[in-house]
Amino acid sequence: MSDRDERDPHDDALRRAFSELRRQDAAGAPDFHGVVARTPPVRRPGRARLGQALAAAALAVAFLVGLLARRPRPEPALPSIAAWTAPTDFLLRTPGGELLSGVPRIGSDRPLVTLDGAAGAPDSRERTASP
Amino acid sequence: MPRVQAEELEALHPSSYGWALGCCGYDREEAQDVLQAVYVKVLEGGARFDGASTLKTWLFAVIRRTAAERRRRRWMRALAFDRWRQRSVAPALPDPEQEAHGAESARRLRAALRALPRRQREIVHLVFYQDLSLDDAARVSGISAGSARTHYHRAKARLRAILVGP
Repeated sequence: MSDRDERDPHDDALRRAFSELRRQDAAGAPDFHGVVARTPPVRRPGRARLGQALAAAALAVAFLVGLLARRPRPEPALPSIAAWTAPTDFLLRTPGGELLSGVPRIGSDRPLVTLDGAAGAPDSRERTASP
Repeated sequence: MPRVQAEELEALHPSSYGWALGCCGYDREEAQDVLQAVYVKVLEGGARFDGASTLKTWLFAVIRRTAAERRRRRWMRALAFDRWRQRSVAPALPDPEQEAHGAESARRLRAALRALPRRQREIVHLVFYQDLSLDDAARVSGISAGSARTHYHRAKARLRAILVGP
């Protein structure tokens, strides 16, 4: 591939403009030896290093924050299903409900047997008094 | 391969300066700093010519890389809040006095070149300004010949649109 192949007659204006640009640049070109002996631009290492240190510190902090954010947290222990009670259980406890939870006995002011076994068992005196 | 001599660099100096200007967005100070770094690197053996291409092509590639490296360093310094006022990621404009001395066509061309993407600017500069072939321009820019051809045609079309009008 040659640049000659790529050029077309419409490039003449461009070529002329570039030629003028080249001529101007060449006229303003500095001396070769002057460029070689040119003092390199002075750098300010103190400020540059301070900036680099700040950037490094910011990166380190971001890294630590990222690590902490990614660390898995312990999950709260779930209560056993056997110990679970519905939060609305208290609505089922009505006043005098203990009267309905046992079988009443004649001549006794206390139920002989309760359905949930919470009420007192019959004593011997009550048993003998019964027919 | 023998070390490049100062006389060889001096013979190429006008072209090298033009290319350095192109790489530095026509900032003369920056172009001279780049050239100084390149010349010292070459003369002290920091960059060695291996003879795989012409000396001009190789030297232009070194200039381009050096300019890019300095641009990256400036960018990093700007990030680190050093010289934040002198953000020079975008090419610096030449001073008005220098501009005034230029012919109108050259001034317009510089402005048009600044409006081009970097790759397009490089390729069109190497072909039209430095008279390199597209293959050599691709070698200098470190891209394939196909990419160079694409950049070349796009650059020409955009330059025509800017300079002549649609």
